[in-house]
Amino acid sequence: MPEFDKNAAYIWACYLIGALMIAGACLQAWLAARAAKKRLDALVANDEDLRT
Amino acid sequence: MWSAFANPHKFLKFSAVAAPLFYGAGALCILWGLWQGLWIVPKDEYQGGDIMRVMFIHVPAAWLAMASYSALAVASFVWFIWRHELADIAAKAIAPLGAVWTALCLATGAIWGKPTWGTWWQWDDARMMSVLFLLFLFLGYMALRASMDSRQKAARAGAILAMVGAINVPLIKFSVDLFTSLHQPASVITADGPKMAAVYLTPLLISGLGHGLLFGGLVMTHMRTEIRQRRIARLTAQALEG
Repeated sequence: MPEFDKNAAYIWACYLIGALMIAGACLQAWLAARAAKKRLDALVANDEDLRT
Repeated sequence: MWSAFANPHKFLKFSAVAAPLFYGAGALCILWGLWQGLWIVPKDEYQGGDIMRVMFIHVPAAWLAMASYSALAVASFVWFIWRHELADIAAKAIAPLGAVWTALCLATGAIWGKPTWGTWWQWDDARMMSVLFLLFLFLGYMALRASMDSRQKAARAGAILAMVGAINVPLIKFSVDLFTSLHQPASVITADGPKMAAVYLTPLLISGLGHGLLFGGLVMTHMRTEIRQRRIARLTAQALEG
């Protein structure tokens, strides 16, 4: 790991917050996309069943 | 030409390929910028020593905050004039992500400010307050949309707020020139070109590109989700009617 001067804690805090926020945004987008796809697939399958 | 892009089916096909590419390229650029910023570039004693390394996350977050609000305003304008549904879907997708990057800009700015200026926050600082106002605009946009009882009303109210709020973007950019501010003047996007040494500028630009690509990938994913949710709502309504 790189060694910084007396402000190391501030630097690491910034990058930690950045990593958590960006990872959180990615995770939320992925979970929402998966849930919507799952629900739509189920609805379309149900719709096709009703038609046949 | 634009109408062709405004087709949700074509967008789903395009984004199925483009979004993963954006994620991959964005992650690579961010990681390269991170490696350069934390390990490679020398510390700048004039900028307070190692604390200037925060720049490689704070500045891209600030750029994204302003760019995302500009994109929100443009998408809202397109919906307002031409009523392209995809523009409204894009605006709805941009808002929460813009809020994330604006909050990241504020958080990293406050942390950078403490060792540099001796304070986390200054209530009468034009740059800090205008960025805080930007965060409230994003949150207000989402709250306003959520409070409406129909999608058309939500799109219309949101578009008006987004377009009016766009005046804040140039205010943020020029706040350090027009008002007294603890924040340093612009050093990358200036009329005379960048005032920063190439050793810092290159990783900063690559990092900014990475954040932009990642943001673009996330917007596409949110838009895909919103298109599916609208289709779910339509199918559910049809099932209830029939």
